[in-house]
Amino acid sequence: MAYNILIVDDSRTMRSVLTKTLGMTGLDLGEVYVAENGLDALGKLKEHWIDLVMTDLNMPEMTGLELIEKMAQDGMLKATPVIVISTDGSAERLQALLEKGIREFIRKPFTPEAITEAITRVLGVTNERSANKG
Amino acid sequence: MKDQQTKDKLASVLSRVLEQVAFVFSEPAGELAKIDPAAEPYIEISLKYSGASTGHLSLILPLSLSRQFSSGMLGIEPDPNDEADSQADAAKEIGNIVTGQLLTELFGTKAIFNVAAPEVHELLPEQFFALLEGREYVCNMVENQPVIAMLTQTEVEHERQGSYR
Repeated sequence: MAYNILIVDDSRTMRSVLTKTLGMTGLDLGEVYVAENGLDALGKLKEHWIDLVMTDLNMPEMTGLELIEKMAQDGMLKATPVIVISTDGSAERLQALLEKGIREFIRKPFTPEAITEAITRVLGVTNERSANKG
Repeated sequence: MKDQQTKDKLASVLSRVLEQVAFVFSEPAGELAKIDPAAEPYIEISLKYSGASTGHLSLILPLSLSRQFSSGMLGIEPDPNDEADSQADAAKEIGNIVTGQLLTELFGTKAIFNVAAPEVHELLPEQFFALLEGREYVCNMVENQPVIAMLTQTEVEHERQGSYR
């Protein structure tokens, strides 16, 4: 099964880095969509089937936290898993995000391995590269 | 940024983030006399933060160096024909990461901060040294090009945690 993933980050560079990193994970990827902020992401979520959202927090127009809250209020979107990727180092904020239902938190700067591990945990899949090693 | 510990932490975080994110090595620079801000365009990335403390972090660097950071992050050759805002994007993200990492080092993981989106200003040559005059800053050199970082704290609401005081 190929997974469609939505990357939400206001930095064009970071969107490109994450897209490239996803390509290195060995996961069975379908489409990788990108959005510049939470509002843009909500539009993409309504247009396409998305299996996983990877979002930054600090963005103009609509923050990652607001996006997570909007998704939680939407009957269709509330089951879509969310991974937060942010520079924020506050343990209290992380706890608040977990209480809002996010599945993983990755702090920037991240390694490709951290991205792979988080996605495989959230989607419950084994990436092709790991499977081939066995 | 009034004490040596803060400067040391800023220099350390800046160096670490440049290495981990842009894959470039930097060395501390003692003085800026050899820098000619008229030789090429410079930018200032400014990030305001509020919460357990209020202030802003600034990064000052040549625009061409931001292009190089982008190249390191993406693994592709930089395109000098990109618009200036696109060229500055990598430096904005590095500023964002430096700010997040530094605030945790200074105030610990219990402190909560809100960091505003980075602002980019192009610097005229005469603004370059005026901006630094009388200010405390750290400067790291990347292949003979400077990355200058300044932290301005306007308010501290809580006692700092850990070893830093």
